[in-house]
Amino acid sequence: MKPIPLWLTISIFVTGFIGFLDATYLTTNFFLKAIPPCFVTGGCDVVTTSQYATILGIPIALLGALYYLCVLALWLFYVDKKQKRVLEALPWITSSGFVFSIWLVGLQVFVLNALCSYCLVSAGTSTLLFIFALIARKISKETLPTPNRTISQ
Amino acid sequence: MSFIRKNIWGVGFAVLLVGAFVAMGFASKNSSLPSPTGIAKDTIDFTIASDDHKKGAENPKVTLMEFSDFQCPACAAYYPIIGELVKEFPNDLQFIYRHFPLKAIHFQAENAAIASEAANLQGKFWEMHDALFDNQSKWNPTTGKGAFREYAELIGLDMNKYDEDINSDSPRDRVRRDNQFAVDNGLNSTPTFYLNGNKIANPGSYEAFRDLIAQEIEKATNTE
Repeated sequence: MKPIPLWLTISIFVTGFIGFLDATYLTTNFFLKAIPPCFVTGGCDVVTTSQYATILGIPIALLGALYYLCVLALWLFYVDKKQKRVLEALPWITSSGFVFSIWLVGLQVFVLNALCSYCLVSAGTSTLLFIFALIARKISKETLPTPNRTISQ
Repeated sequence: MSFIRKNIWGVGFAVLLVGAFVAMGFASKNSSLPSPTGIAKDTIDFTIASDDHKKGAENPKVTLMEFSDFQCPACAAYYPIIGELVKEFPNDLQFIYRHFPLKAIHFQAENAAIASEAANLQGKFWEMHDALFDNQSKWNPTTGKGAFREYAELIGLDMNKYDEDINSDSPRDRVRRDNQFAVDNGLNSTPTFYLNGNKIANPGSYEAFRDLIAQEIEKATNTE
């Protein structure tokens, strides 16, 4: 098994961390009933106060923050213990975040007709995490070149 | 690097905790009722047109003008507050609603404003205004126009006339007139309030708003 390169380890940490900060920020806004000032796009108020901002009363932003926390914890666990099972599980876990993000962006574009920049940042980070997870699994499957053995007789 | 490797859980936890607090700190600075920023003029020409949408006192001491957008959540938050204020000062306060649909970010805002003007042609502007704000979260996500027609029916408009008016020029021109005035005066957010022609920072609560108006009424009474 090839080791995971440092750039990939750091990329997963940084991306997950950005996603976590973003989701925490939105969660706090939700509970304070505040409206985040939008950058680039302009529909943050529409999106974050819409009926789609919660699932069964739980704000999606909070679910997002917990999701990023789980991914980061899992990655810390991998870096600490080098358990190969983490690399097998991570693409599955991050694919759920990726699919959920597609659904949320779809809602913004087709249903709400408004875009919220913070939500798009989260869609970006969850997509990147999925890609990184796939790369990590692929690298781990590559076997090291077998050393030439000379069979001496 | 070896320190981080040895204490990876502690370092990771610390970074996350600090990050969470920073994010929460930034979020807590956002006010729940966003106040307008930028270059909106502090005083505006306060000539009130005969066809402005008025509510409250006939001969007011104080006039509150709001530039509003039916699709803006903050405007919907102020809508019940305004209703209470008009009730609180029935003889002294007049409220004027002007359109400022931020159509670049609220795709149905202008259509909603036009629907309210179509209702106005049948003398039911305020009924439509209330229906649009009461149901904002319901029509916000949907395509809007169909919902506006439903409200028109609910408030008892002649639907043949409504359908005709909604596609005619007059409601649209009326909305654009308000909008142009807002743009000419540098307004850039909704809701923006002017009290007797002077811009006010959006009050954070009903009580703050009430006190502000009471003060203004007192000033007007003293100068009489």
